[in-house]
Amino acid sequence: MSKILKKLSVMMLCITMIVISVIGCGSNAGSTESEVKANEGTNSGNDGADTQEGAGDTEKIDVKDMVTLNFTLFSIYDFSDAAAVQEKLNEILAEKYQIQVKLTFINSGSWTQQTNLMLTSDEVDVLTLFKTPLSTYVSNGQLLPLDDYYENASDAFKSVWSEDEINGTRVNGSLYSITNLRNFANTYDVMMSKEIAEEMKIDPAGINSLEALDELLYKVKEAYPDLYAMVPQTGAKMSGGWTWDGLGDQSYIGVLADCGQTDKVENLLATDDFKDYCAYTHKWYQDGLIMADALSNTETGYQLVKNGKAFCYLSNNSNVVPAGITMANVIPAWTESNSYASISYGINAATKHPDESWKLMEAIYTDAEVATLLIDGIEGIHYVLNEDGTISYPEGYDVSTIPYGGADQYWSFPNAALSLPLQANGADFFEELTAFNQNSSISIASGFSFDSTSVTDEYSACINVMDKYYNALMCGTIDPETSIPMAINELEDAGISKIIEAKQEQLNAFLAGK
Amino acid sequence: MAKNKSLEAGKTKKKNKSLNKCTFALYTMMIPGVLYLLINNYIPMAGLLIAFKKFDYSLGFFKSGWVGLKNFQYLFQTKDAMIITRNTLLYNGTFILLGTLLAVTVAIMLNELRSMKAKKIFQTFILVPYLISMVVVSYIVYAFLSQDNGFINNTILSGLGIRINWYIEPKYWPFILTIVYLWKTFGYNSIIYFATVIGIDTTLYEAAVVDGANKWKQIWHVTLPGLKSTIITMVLLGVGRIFYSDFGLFYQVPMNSGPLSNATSTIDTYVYKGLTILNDVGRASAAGFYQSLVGFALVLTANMIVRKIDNENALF
Repeated sequence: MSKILKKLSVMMLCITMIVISVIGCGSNAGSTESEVKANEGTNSGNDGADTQEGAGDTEKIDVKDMVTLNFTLFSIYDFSDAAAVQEKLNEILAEKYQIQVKLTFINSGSWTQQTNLMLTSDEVDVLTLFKTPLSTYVSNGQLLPLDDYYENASDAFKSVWSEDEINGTRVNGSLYSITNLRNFANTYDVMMSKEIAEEMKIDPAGINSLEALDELLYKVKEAYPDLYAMVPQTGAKMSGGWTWDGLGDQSYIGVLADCGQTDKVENLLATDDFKDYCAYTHKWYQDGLIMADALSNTETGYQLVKNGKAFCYLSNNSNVVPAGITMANVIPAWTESNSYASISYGINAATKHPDESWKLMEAIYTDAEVATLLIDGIEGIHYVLNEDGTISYPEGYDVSTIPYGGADQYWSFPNAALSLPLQANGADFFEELTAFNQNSSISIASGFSFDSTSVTDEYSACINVMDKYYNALMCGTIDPETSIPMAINELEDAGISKIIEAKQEQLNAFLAGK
Repeated sequence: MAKNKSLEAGKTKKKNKSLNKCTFALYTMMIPGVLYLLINNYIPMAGLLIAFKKFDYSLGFFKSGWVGLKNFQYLFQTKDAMIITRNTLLYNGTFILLGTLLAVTVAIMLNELRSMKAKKIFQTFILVPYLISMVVVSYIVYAFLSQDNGFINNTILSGLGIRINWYIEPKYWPFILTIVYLWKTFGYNSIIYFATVIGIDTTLYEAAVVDGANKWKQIWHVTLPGLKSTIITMVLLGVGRIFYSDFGLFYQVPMNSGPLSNATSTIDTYVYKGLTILNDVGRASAAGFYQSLVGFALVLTANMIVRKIDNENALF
């Protein structure tokens, strides 16, 4: 009896094994990939290979026959309700534009890896271009050129951006993406704890230079010996830039000093701007005013100030002042040359539906209904409309718990001006933002993009050297007198002069052609 | 006589037949495993070609252009290249040497324990560091070495009146990283040696005692020779990976602090830092190819040397 039972159970196991493996093999290759991606903590709605063929685009076509585009956006928070918003969005898109979308939000942490994977096939059609420099996307052949589409675009679309703003995302003369609405300019300020600033009666207008800050920090250290007088803006980064224009390069290899008001490309470490900055921070570090473990820091300056551990930090800002902070402006608003290209929206070169993808681009930049839905979510569920035209989160929710709410990170969406501002930012927020951008001083290299293909080896070598010295010098942890000459030597060995020459040549050609 | 022979022949034929049936079943069972190895390990080797191409995402893998050896240049061009190669080799050489020494010592000590319970407890405890993720380890090290709040600065050294800024001085880091590595891996490696030690024939020990050997002599003449082949295998495997470094150890533990670069950067961290923004698949693959090529050459050489010295212990 038991022998038969044994034989039977063995047979059942074999059959089960075979059936399961056949099922696994037989289903869509895309769905196993998407399972892996879902496990990696991204939005649950991504299904990869789910596109359908579309018919013509002028006649009314059935929803089932419409093209479904994969639209991937960057997000800081998890938007668990994206599916609901997607449904509503598709209703509008079906009626007005005869397309459908599949919304995917990818978190900051896995952004670069996920998007790189998606761009290797046709898994994404329209996406945010962020973190990787635009010129890199282009040299890797990942983006579709948009010149023809833009030429034939509607007037409504062309009126969204000025000539300069469109040229900001051209690489080697061709248009590869469209910039998005955010603060193109940055002010550089001292962000002080409001409490302490009020107690010590500090006048922000008086802190308008590193010298003035110098005096202030010593006073604060005396009054509050247990606090860090100054901490980095985030992690080991003392401040997100200062007065040097990296010409599209966040490693600052070959820069324009003086907020981009000069046309001479220099080695950042040789500029006076940099040397002055580091002289101050080194002085402060030696006297114990800057947190000693700055290079191993993993927190943001804002957190440290909010938690009462630090007095101030330097930061780049737009026109928004974070809560609990008194801001003192040191460097007035200026726009870096690659500012327009740092976040933009583009179309995957491998897309199977370029025409429909462009239609989606037009929709997200010109259609207020689409934009509001995309950015703010569904009225009543994700936000509450206030009388003055602003929105607030519903009772009991805040920015990190709301299941869908992009208003707080409006700067990552295509055209936030068409959506509704948060109450905290005020009803005129987007007008103020545009004014802020227009009133800033703009680098003369605005719109310039550097083609680094001729110096790629020197580039990686220089990045490694900058890695060694940049943060350490900015945080004041090493002595600039001895380290800067050393660093300059190493950069020379790595071939920085070749890079600077190439940059200067390309810049001169660009300025001549302007 | 002849009848016997034919009987024998008949028996062997029968044996051959049943043997064939047996082996057929065995070979069939091997198929899933071999298939997996083929698909997962051998077919992707074709990807090595990326190291010689300029990868263009719009053209894909097969149509992207060839650039010959250009992708390898950045690894040798700069002064940094000397430093990273030196670091990788020296660290790995030290790790293999000291790691083996420590693991063998611990394994022999474990063997000398009398109580079974003590053996089990120790085995479990020494294995724990291996299971801790490198990121957690980097924070443990930070708790020791942090300038403001670190254990070492605040207790041990404050007594002596000195304060060292650990994350800025590169000269301490070869020692720090070696200690962290040994702490993490000695337990795991010692288990492997321990498994061999307990397999050594106890009669050999008895014979040694009869010959008048004390504990040290026993270890030297019985235990170590018994461990010889395991040590050789493990060292050969280590030598094969001598150009690879534990990325977590060299990137996370120094907390990516710039000034420490000269003492802590290896080929892996150099490639990661230099190419992570540029997203250059070709050059990253070139680095990996270079590492595996050198490792392969070293394994062959080391194996050849071992074969000359002691034929049975060579891997192949």
